[in-house]
Amino acid sequence: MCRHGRDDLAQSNPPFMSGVPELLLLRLLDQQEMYGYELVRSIRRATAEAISLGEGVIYPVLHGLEKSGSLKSKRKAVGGRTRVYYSLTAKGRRRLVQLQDDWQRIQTGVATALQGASHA
Amino acid sequence: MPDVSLQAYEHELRKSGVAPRHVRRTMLELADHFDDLAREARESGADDQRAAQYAIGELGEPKTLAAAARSQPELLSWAYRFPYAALIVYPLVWMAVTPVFAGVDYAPRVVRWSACLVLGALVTGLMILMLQLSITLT
Repeated sequence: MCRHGRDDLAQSNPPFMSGVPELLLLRLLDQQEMYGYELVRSIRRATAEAISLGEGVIYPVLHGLEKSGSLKSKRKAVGGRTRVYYSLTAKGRRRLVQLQDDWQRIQTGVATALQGASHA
Repeated sequence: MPDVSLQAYEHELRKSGVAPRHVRRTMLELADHFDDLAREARESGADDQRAAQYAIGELGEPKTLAAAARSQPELLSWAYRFPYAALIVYPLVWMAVTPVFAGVDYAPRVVRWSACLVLGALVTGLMILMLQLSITLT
């Protein structure tokens, strides 16, 4: 249950996390609609627990994405509770493609630089 | 228990200038998330108190949440997004339209008050300007 002394990328090196939650959220919501708690669990599973944010942080990111038109939300009654489910819009899909391209380019560039540094 | 614990999040969000409607919505979703985390902990054998502590720990620091909200300008109230408009344009517009809302009967009184306020602002501004000049020139 409790994960004490969490030492993940989000906490050990915050600048590396810039833009990562947005990319992960868009990627996961491209597959199916989800609510906040479900999304956090999916991020942990999908990244093999390498990325686990302070869970509350996800909501400002979701609300920002919704405000910018990348996501839409709807309330659903589930088991006597009302949950807010998020899903991707067409604009969100375009944003996801763009972010994935950016990420791949950065990843390739950093890998090349690291290989170059090790050969030097 | 959750209401008491979650108040710190609401306080930080409001202090950071997040628009009230976004604060309300975030708090609703946080409360829901808190319930899910606490249930998860209870299913693993924790008592209510430990479950609540676990849930709060997982939600993260209120200041971290507020920082995440501040990094999304569209979630901030307009006064935080456009501070000059809030401090200069808004009061001037209100001064101009207050007689309309106050009604014709009170219009002379409102105009006198507005004139006094403008005069007071001018005198204060002049004093600050003179103080600044005296510091600069000496």
